[in-house]
Amino acid sequence: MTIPTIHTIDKITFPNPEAIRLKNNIPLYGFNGAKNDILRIDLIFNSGRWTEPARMAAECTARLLKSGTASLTSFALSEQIDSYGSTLKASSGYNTFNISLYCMNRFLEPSLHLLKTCLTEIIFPEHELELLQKNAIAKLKISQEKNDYLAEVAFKKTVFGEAHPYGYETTEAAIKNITQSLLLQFYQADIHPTNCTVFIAGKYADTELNLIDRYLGEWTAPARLEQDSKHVLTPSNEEMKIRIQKENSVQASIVIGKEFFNKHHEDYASFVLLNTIFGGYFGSRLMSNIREEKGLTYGIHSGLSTLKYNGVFSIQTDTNLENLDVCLHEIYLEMARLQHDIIPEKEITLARNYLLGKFLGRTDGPFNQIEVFKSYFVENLAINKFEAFVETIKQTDALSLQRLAQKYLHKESMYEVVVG
Amino acid sequence: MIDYSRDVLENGLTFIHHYDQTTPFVVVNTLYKVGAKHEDAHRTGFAHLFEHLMFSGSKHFTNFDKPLQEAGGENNAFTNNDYTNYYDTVPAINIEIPLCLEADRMANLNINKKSLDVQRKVVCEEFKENYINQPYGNVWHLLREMVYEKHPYRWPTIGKELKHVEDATLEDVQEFYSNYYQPSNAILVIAGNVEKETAKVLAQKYFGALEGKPVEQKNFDEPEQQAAKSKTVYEDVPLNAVYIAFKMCDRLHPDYYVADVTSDILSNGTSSRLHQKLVKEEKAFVEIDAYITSSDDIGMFVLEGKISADFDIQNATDLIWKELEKMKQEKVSESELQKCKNKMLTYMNFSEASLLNRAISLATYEVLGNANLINEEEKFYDAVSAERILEFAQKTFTEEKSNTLFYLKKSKV
Repeated sequence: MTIPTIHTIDKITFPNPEAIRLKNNIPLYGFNGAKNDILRIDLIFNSGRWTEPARMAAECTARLLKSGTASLTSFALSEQIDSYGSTLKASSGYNTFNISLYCMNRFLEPSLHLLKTCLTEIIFPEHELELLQKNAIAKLKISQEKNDYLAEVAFKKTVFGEAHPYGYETTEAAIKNITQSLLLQFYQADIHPTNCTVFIAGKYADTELNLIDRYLGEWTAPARLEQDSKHVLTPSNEEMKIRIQKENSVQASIVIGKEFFNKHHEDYASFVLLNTIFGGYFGSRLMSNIREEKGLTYGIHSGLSTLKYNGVFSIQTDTNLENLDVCLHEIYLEMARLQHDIIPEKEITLARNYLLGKFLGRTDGPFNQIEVFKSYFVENLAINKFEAFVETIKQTDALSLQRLAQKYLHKESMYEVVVG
Repeated sequence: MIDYSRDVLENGLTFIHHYDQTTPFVVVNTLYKVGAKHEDAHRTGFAHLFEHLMFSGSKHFTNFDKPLQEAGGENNAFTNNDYTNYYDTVPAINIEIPLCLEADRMANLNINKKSLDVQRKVVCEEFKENYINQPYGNVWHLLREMVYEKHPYRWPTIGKELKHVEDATLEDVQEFYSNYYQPSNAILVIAGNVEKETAKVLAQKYFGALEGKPVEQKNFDEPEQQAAKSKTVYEDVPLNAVYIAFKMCDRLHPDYYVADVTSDILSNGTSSRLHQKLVKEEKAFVEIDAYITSSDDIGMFVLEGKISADFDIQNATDLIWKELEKMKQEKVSESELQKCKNKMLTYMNFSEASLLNRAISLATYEVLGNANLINEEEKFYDAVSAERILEFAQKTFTEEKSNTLFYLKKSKV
């Protein structure tokens, strides 16, 4: 038996979303075509850690999205949303604040009504805030028992600087510092119709669009005070190697990496291919060598996560303490190999084809499409770049991959955090 | 409504096809009816270790992953107490790639010392990463052993202890493969953008000629619990935690759906009872959850909570019992019931959007003997009534059938 012919994916097209404006000028982007009568609605605000008036303000606001209004308690609000089987939740990112609603279309109208209530009437009652603070601190203590959590925190702090929104650490003090008036200040400034974009995915027709326009398109608010937030990176100038001792550990968590570019950089797409070969998938060099050949870890990955203003490149793994030095040595060895030796054509084809399959997957159905579209939107990137990236990945050759490795994968440029 | 067709090939392999022409992908899902419950009590963790070895290559293909990745595909697998499931997603144009790979490792796995040596180490690292080096990481080891007296659900899939994994030999591996990895013990699902006739021809082409032997299906007993059990451990954790578990029915029993809805009434969403009463009003818990384990045989109904730092452990536990007593005494209101059903329906509708979810569901329902549960479950959930919840609570939540684990923080000396 021999392997049947493998066909290469030749064309990947990303569909254009339906783009309209609500009555109040809020832009809406939609991807249609789900089988079931369901909708996911995301509201994205230019906000998050970047614009919050105090550390943790955005995060606490997100967790108190359903904390109550002058006339509805938090319980009443949650009970109503739950009664339609809908989910309404908020999350805070580095540069965004996101509110998402998941519902069946037959409950779209009452769900939108509750969403609108949360947008315009939330008062962040004191007792709800106090309980959140108490429980958030308790959960923080559990996270702080985890080596991988501690490693990630130390890494971000070192790379971006303790004062930077991308780098600051969640602390008990920051949580305690939050007040009701801070949250109201943040909400009034940022959760504003002029600062909002709506994304929908699922199955919809005019009925659903009209409902959305009725509830979100009629949302008005007093004029917004634009604030111009600027933050400067202040990476640690001291030791590049950080070792945190943790009693009773059997394994150490490792994070190695550095500040990086985002999707706007000309090397982005080619670097995605290089990273795939290095540590981006199961067949990568890091996985093949450190897991499949030596059995030093359950998993090892490298990746580039892109943010609005920067990016970060990192390698992450956990390994037995006694194998720590071997593991670190092998990681750096794999970096050096990519700089010194030309990658065999076969290996590039393998990674490239795998990656094309990944890109194809991102075009599959409205729920995948909306995720890609939102991530490009947040980074101010036109969606047609998606197909341009595919083309670049197809054309990147061995020589340019080696040059990229020589440019970006220097051991000396990397921070190294070990917790255990 | 999910359309599918079902056939059994001559060698006993069950083959299910589901067509979806809106996606550019196909999923090939292969499930083997062997899980941790089929293991010897002295050699646990074996089914899961074996799952790792299934990626060691086979007679005709030295590597499983590479051809699949070259075909633009992705694959993974998971093991639970009941079965082991392997899934591959590829662009539909490359459908034959996963089929030939899966067929070859079903019949001709390359079992060798080198990959056993490596994967033993990998699994030991997995054990340490998830069950030792994690706060509360060994809870399931403790809880399963307390709840089950005889049933092999007594141990988790990762294995009872590291040593069992370390001691696995090549002979054990060979024997396990020959005992359980047989066409008649497997379910093949082909789902996605390939028409029924084509899928059928391909399934026959790659799997039809594989020889196999019948696999004996085992049944496992578990006695009814007669007296309450309790255990207290002290560990290096920041918050005290309590776990209360009751044995419940198997997956095919009509009460399964009643149990699931009951757990939702207690803890699904911020308006649920335990969250409102115990987290928000009493402030006894930092977080609390009620859920069922969806195992094929006798399952568990579990309540677990992390107790607020300043709250008495026994008082917190009593408060959970107060809510359970309430479930036994008063019928839930129609609106509360409808709320849970609506949440379930929304969840099922969103989950179905994923082709992979549909493929895995068809296989896991087929293990239970009825792939059509994928279409029938909505009806079963809808049939859950307040009366049946009351009856279920009365027969399940009794002191003598309870298993309580206090997972407490070590006082620092």
